[in-house]
Amino acid sequence: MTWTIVRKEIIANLLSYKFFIVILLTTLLLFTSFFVLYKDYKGRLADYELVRAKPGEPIAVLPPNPLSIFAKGLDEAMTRSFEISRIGIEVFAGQKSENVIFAFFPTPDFVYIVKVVLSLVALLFGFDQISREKESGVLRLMLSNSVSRAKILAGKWLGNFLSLSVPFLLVTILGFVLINLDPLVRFSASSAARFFLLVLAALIYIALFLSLGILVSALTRRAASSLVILLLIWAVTVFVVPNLGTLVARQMVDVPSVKSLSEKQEQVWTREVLQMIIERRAKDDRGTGDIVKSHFDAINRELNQMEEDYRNKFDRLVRMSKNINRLSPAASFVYATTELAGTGIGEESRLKENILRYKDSVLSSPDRGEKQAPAFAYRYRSVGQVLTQGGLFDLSWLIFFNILFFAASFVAFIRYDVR
Amino acid sequence: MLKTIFKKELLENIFSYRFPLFFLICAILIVSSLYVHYLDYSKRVSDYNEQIRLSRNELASSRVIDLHFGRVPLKGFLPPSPLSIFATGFETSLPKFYEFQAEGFKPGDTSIGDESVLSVFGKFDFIFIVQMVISLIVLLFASDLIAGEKELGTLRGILSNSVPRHTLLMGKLWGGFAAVWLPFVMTFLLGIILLGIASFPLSKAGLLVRMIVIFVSASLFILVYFALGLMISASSSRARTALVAILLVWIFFQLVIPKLSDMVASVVYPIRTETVVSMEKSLIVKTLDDEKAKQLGKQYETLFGKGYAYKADPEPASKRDEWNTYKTQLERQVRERKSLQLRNLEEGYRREKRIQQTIAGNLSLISPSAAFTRFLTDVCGTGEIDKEKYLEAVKFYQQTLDTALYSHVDKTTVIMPSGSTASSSSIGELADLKSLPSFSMKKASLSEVVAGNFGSLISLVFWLIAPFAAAYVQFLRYDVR
Repeated sequence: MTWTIVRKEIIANLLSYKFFIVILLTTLLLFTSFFVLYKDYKGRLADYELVRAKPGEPIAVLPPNPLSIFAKGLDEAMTRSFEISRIGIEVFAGQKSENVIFAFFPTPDFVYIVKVVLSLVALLFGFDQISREKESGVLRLMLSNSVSRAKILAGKWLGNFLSLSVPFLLVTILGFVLINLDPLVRFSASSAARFFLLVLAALIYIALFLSLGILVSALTRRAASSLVILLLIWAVTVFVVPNLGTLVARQMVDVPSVKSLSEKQEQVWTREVLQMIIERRAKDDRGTGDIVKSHFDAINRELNQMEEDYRNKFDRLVRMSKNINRLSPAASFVYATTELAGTGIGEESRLKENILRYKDSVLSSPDRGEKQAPAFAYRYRSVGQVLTQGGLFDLSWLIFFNILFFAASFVAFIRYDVR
Repeated sequence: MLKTIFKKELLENIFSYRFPLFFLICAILIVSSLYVHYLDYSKRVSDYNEQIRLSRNELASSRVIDLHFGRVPLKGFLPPSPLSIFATGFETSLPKFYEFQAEGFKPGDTSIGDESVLSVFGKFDFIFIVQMVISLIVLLFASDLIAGEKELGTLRGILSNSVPRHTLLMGKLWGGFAAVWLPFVMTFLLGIILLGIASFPLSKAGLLVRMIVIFVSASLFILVYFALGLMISASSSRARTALVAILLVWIFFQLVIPKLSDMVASVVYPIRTETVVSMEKSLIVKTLDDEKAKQLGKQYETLFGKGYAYKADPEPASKRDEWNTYKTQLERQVRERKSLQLRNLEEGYRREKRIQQTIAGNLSLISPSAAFTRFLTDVCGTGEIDKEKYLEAVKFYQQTLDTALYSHVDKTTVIMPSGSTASSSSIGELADLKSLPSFSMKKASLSEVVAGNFGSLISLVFWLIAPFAAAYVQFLRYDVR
């Protein structure tokens, strides 16, 4: 019986003009996004060929990540060029997309489209499942047969999920294959695996919004009111919560500004230099080399300490804002997908640690000749590592929401008055 | 009669459950976004002041001669724009400062780099809220204005009275609009009052005028979307159809057109990237310098004999004059050629880029959202106009420094025909540090902004009139049964 309902739902969808327009629009959006970001990637790749470090130069630049075509994340920040010198690390813009519109509108990558548009589309599929059929009286007829409510609900869910996800999957895979045709952007087997996990996360996310739509539809009596409520929920989960989390975290964790940091640094300098002068006077300016060296070492040590302190606090801020943001499944989805693509927050902080380690190795290399600096090498975390370091949590959090909404809609539907 | 319909429409909306929800959303979104961006802005201001102070200290403690040779780079910082709390625009993606040296200027890091981690979710400023979230909600309010009442049967009842359709439409438009406008006004004012309490310089004349412009154009923008919703509602016979159509229109205007226009522009008119151009520039400089050094070496050998090591004042002294005149002449020639070639390259590239941007920009104006964003970011001083101004100021400052500092240095590199190279550098008179101007940039005035955004304004006006006219035509033919 469930299958009959699934078939009925799919056919009803296929025949509706809503389905036709929605699918056309999704296809158009996804292809536009793939094309724009593919061009962006190629541009950045060409730039990388120009700014990449020559052998022996103490510069750390990463090539752009091909998966940034689908999840741009922090890739632009990660591919800046970090130049190591005695004073510290100088950061220059590496490969930058020369795109006017990107600055005004959010980057239209696959993740963004799924997060904003496909969640909306899923709600459009779900919002009138129960209330519309009640309004038209179909539900009454259906339930007069010997079919359980659970089966109807499962059939509706499955039918709509299939009619939504099959076209989406086809378009996405076609886009992936087309991009793969370019010899410059060939994806390795591991990136293909990452991409498929990313699509899986997208499917879970879409299913979640479909369940939410059915839930609200089972709670309301009219389709129009169900849509308005759903849109409000959608605006809050997609736009509000992920930003409020950062705000709240900022209030709770106090991160020093550049100003106080530089003031502290100056204090250290003046103190050490003054002490150095006094000590040198006491020694009548003889054999002062050791004194100078020891003081400079002290300065270096304290500045490093300060830097590390700052980084720790900043990490705490990031961790906290991440956890608050996870209240919204949209945030979890973004975290999971960007980490899978290797453009996420975790990957970025790992890269920074590696660059610091690289700086130490450049500065402590025996001949200290900057011409002979070792080359910088960075390996992205493996899929397994990504999953154990938070990715699995985010994915299961999404699945949890799915189950929660579906169970709630089951309860709501059992009590639903179909007359 | 108009008043009665207006009142009915307003009251109906206010008593619906949608109204308090919309109010709540507006209050949370607008107020929190203004507050967050205010915090962010004050942090950027204190960082800016601190960096100016640090670079002044550095300047004061360094020797004049180091400045001349560019060993201590001078820096010019971008002053944060106070209205960036309404529209971030380019503010965080532009370099925070430029470094000036004898060879030219280079961009520093952007401020987004510091906290890029926190920006994964993209922007959340006032403009974004109005453009994405409020526009959608407004469309929803408008969706059942006509079709909803038809379904309920009230439209039939109303029209059985002696009321012309245009009065009814007007009443519906303004009554419905008032219901969405009121929460917006109230939360906007609340946000402004909070800003005032948080000691944001509201009373500055220029800022106040600009804030009024922001408020008026945001209100007009909301009206545009309301009229669009009304049009769609008047074209569909069922409220649910109207809702779906509205969502599609919204996605099209917000997400598709801005991106499509960019894509079309880059396909129609492809250009080189900035990095490629800067590589080409340094290639020109290097070739010309090498050529010059080689010519100098050749002349040096013919004057002072083969194998004579290079010195700044070579023997015999009688030939020094000839050498010096030759050197100055050649250096002047090469300098002129270099600046000519560089200027040609630079201007050609800028022209190409401007064409591409104009194509993308004009195409995106099809969508009222893009027009609105462009106009308001410029009003807030974080848009395209001020980005150009920043670049111009940087170029101008480089020229000033070239004449005041770097041209005093006389660097000569000589490549002998035998292949050995030698160089000497000397300096003329030292510049006075006190008289050296510091970097400054003038923000665009409001009239410049209006003149530069003519297209956006026309697009907004079009979208204000067209949907309403279409709604009127559709409603005249509407079957209310």
